[in-house]
Amino acid sequence: MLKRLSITATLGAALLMAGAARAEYPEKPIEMIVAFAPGGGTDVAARSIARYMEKYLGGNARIGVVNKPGAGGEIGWTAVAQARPDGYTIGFINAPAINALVVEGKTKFKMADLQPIANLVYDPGVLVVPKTSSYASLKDLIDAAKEASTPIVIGTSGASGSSEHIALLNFQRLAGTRFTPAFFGGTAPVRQAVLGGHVPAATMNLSEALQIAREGNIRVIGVMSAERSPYLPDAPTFREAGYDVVVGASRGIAAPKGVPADIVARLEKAIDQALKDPEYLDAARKAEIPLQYLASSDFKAFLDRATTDLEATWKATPWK
Amino acid sequence: MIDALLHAIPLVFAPMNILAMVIGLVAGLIVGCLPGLTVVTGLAVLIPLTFGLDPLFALGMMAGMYNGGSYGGAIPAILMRVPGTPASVATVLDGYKMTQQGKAAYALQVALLSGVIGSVLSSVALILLSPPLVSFSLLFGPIEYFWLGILGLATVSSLLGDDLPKGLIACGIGLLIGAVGQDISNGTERFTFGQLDLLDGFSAIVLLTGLFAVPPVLQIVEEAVKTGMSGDKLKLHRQGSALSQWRFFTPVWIRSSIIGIVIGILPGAGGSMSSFLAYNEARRVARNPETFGHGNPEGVAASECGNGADNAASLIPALALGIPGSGVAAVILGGLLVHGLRPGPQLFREHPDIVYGFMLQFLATSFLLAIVGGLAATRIFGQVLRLPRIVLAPVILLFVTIGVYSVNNSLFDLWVLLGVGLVGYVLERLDYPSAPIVLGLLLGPMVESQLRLALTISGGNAAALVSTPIAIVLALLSAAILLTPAWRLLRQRRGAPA
Amino acid sequence: MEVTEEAAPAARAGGSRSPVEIAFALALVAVSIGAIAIASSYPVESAAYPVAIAAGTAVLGLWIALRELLRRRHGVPTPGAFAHHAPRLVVAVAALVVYFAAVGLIGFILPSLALCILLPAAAGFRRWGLSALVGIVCVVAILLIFVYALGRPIPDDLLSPLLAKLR
Repeated sequence: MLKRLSITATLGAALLMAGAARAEYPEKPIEMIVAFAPGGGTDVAARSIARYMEKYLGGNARIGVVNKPGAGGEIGWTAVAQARPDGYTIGFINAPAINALVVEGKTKFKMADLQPIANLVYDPGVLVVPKTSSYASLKDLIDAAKEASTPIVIGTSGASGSSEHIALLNFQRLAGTRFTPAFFGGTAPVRQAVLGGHVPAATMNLSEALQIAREGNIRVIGVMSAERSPYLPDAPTFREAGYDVVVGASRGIAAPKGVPADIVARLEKAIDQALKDPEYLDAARKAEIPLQYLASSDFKAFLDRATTDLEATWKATPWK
Repeated sequence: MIDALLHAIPLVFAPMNILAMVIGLVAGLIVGCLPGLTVVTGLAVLIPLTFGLDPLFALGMMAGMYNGGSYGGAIPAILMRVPGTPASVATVLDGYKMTQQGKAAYALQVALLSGVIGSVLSSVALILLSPPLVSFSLLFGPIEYFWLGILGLATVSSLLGDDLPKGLIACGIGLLIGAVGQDISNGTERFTFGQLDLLDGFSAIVLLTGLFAVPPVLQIVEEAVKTGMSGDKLKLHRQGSALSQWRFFTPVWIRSSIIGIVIGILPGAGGSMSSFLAYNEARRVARNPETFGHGNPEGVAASECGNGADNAASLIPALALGIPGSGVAAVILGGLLVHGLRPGPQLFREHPDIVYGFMLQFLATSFLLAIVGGLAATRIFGQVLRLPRIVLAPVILLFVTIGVYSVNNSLFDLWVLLGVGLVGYVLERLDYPSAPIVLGLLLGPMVESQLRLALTISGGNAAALVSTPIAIVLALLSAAILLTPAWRLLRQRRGAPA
Repeated sequence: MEVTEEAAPAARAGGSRSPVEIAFALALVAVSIGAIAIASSYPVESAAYPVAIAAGTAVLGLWIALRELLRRRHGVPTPGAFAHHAPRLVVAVAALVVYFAAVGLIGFILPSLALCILLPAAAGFRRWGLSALVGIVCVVAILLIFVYALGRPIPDDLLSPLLAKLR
């Protein structure tokens, strides 16, 4: 596989050499790997930002979005980590899902194989209950869980080992009780189950709960962020209730390790400018995408912290 | 509502927006008829381009693409036995037989008309019935989905073919293939052999394409026919016109549309299930069920009508609740969001002209499809059949290869395609039916995961499975479907000696 | 039009597909048993579903194999040949294998053109011009739709640097 790739790459390079030597970056299309299928949240985010990054990279920069879905993102992320570090392959990475995979120790890459460029989105997790539920707060839920003979079921949109599952594990440890996770494997089914009252409670990301919560069809009883979200200021955080559960899904852009520093800086700047583009900002605000820009160094620190946290959790309660 | 509809009409029929709908339809036809490319891909590419455009222009393209794509899948299914989308698999069963019998143009016309009727009725349901249908869809939890899956699998009983054990084996093969991949509730990797590519299981579109498209390629080479179909067989005259036989088709259309709409509003059930259930129902009530699978136009009508009726209906929970009923609806939801249209009941209050405009666009594109699709299918795509048949073999293979590759951008999938294709060829030559494999493959994972979810939620109490009225109804329906062929057999046996 | 060869090969009458019937049924049994063996190491809740199905297919496979053996003993093996035309079947399968291998190695474009011309030729079709024309039209159409309009990548291609220049 790798050999074949390198043959094509060499041939390609040889043909290209006829043209210019190292011209101004980017002199050819940049490949942006998305580890999920077309149409998913990450894919739409990638295709949207790509257009504005092209604008701010200048010249006739072109970014092609390439979907490499599968294995919960692992296939695409492996492709990013193992790509040639020439700045022409970048990819979207989703923390803490990517950290969790690495911590489990089965991936072919380590976090150090990736060069973080910038973070774009941070979407905190939330715990929601149906509107008819008798639980008005986290305290109600925990009290009920402590009294119940069988653990209370909490639906999660992810699979076992997803950030939500891990958050749930942390929460039950801090609260000194037990819940039974029910894995729905996707946001739409879990949302439907909680709306229809088929599960007593569920976890999902804030942006996924926002509209139905505003309409009053579900109640958000806990947000897993450090502070209340500006999009839903009435919803209390886990910290306010005394449980230090801060978990969210982030989407950022990374390159393989070893990309020249000037190219990282070019990309970082283009992303920053793209996120400030009025047209993009307007669309993002309308869609209520929780944008959170982190520059390369901050993004790296954020990823490192996620890895350390997960390593601690993995030692205490392995999720698989 | 009436006010909003009246307001929306001039907006929908503004020249620019009609143009948008036609562009969407044509693009949808193209992505739909190419195996491996789906409407989801088309929309994902389209949406970022619609930033800053007038919402109705963008939504018109989306509506057109959805309706165009769902019919587009039927074109290669009928002409070449290659289902363009999973939802058109049931169309292959009778559609391709009709082509072999020289009735390609008629089959396409039946498919188009049925698809149009399905999507028109579905759009009407979307416009008129959104609120009550939404509350119905919320009654479905894991228990109900489990039974819905069982109901789908029960339709296998009418697709098993003449040799019962072989039909059951085919279904078992599908179920087994469906079990490959990571078990989401505990991370167990089932039958993946350490292959990362298998962690999510085989992708259905790759398997379906292999199963249906590769065997005919081999067969064409074997037969080595060096002439093409004569142009006459692509002309409609003397093949009958579906339009003038509306009395004959109407019962099929009504039943299939209802099935499609009901399945459509249930998030996660999806188009392929609509078309199979509709096909089965048409066959179950037919006086001559044995002609199904041998070129019965009712089979094509049922499948395509069910498929078309699924479209707009799947947007009902998406628009009213923000729960997408299908992959396509999910992407359309994303498209609505970038235009600042937040789904939910408030959407109907805050942007009535856009919501009803969008719904009307669904209706309008359904009618436009009749024109655009009719022209495209027979005038353009049909002409491909005039090529010498032997030249078609590599052509099919080329499109299938690139389509399958582009699903996951993975060379691994090409080898899966070949492997499945060769097994599919053997199965076909040994008279194992292929439809049960498809159903097993698509519904097996749903049945298993929903059963386990239901048991997790009920704390392992199996009695919970029949604890709701809908669950009981679905269970009884499944039993009825399973027993119909047996009952018919019994009646024939009793009737025979007399 | 011109030469129309009779499709049905003469060899069909004599052959029976019954050995293939038995071989396939036994292979199915073997795969099912293999699946059960592999699944036995999984946690119970993950194993139950595949094991149940595999047990079913194993039993049914045995049934088919035995039924065919009995039919043979009674002198009525399932009629009909396995292949329409065995030599051309072998050619077609080989062509597919070579084609997919080539796509992996040197990309989509050249092997596809070769397939369009050589596969019909191998089956005795001699209108080279038509084959080549169809091949070129298809490849160009695919590139236009998949690569240019939809931005879907094709397998790494020997010619992709050239294509990049044409953009």
